[in-house]
Amino acid sequence: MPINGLFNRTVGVLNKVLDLRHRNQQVISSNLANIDTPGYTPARLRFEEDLQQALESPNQAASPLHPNHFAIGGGSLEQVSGRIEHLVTNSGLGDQNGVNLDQEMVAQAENQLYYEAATTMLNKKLGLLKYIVQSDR
Amino acid sequence: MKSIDIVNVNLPSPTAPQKTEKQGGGFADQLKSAINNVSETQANADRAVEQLHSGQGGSLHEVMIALEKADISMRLFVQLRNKAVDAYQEIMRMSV
Amino acid sequence: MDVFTSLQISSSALSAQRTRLNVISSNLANVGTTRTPEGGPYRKRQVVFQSTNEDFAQHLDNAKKQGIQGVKVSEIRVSQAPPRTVYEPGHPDADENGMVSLPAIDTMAEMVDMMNATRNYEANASAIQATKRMALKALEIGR
Repeated sequence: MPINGLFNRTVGVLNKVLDLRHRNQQVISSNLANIDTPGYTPARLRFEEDLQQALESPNQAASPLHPNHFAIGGGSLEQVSGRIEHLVTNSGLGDQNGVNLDQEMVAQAENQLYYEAATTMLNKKLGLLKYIVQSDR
Repeated sequence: MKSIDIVNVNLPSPTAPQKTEKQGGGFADQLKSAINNVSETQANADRAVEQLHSGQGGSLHEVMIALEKADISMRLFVQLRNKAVDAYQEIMRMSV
Repeated sequence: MDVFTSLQISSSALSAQRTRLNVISSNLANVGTTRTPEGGPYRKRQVVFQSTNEDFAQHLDNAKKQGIQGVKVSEIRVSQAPPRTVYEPGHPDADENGMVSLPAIDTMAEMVDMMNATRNYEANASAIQATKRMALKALEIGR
């Protein structure tokens, strides 16, 4: 019996979310590291819309057959990898460094919260599966 | 004549087997409703988790409660199934 | 491997901010220095930051490399601002007019810079904490 039949899509979603949030933390760390670098534009990893699309239309492949066709609808879940978006601020101050410490700290806290939420939910689901598998009758 | 009446009174009435069937049906109904409950709460919990993480709203506490409900209803169902299997085995063990 | 990339980014920032703090301390310590090995009064030093990914570039492929950069001090620039002159005839280094050339260092500006460096150091330390917490949480999956 293939073991993957036990784990439904939600476990895959949580896995993907953990991956993306981890990468987001790297991006935020980079922003904080370059908080004094002249000319640096802070980045953020955007993936929630991509994830939503992939969940709503899971059967459409992201790569179309004809090179002139655009892929419409969501891709499969594994292909969601998030987009780096640069937050351009035109404040015109001094060294053109756009990193805002408060925004980065809030983004970091939010990211961490969602990461821990995802691990907790994953634990609950896996724990339930273990209980079912282990109940002795 | 009177003895026949007494014998008639002592015989179990024809409606009695239906009553035991209804009791057995009661447990089967419980089992069925537990199965439906399990699949419904699981689907709810999965949907809540996916919505939370794809940015479509839902709050952390709602998702955690939904997950807990799915967890409890699954455990209840497993226990009911165990009891049903036990009861079946008990009956099979009875020597006729 | 990715956890250590994140930690390396933040640690590069900690080193850079610490270098900046050292430079500020040097500026503050030498606010009245009139004699230096290269001659003349002390000149203010300033760090210049630059983003870099040379420490961990081999761990990331190109698609992920955008947006993930550490920082390093590319140079410690010596200020070319003219020294300020103060009238103090009794000073050993006073010239024939009694004017002494002192370093053009504004103590208040240096103090503010130091507070900035400290705050940014703390921000990067918190990034390390966040990364470490996430890694520990991941280790608890399934336990």
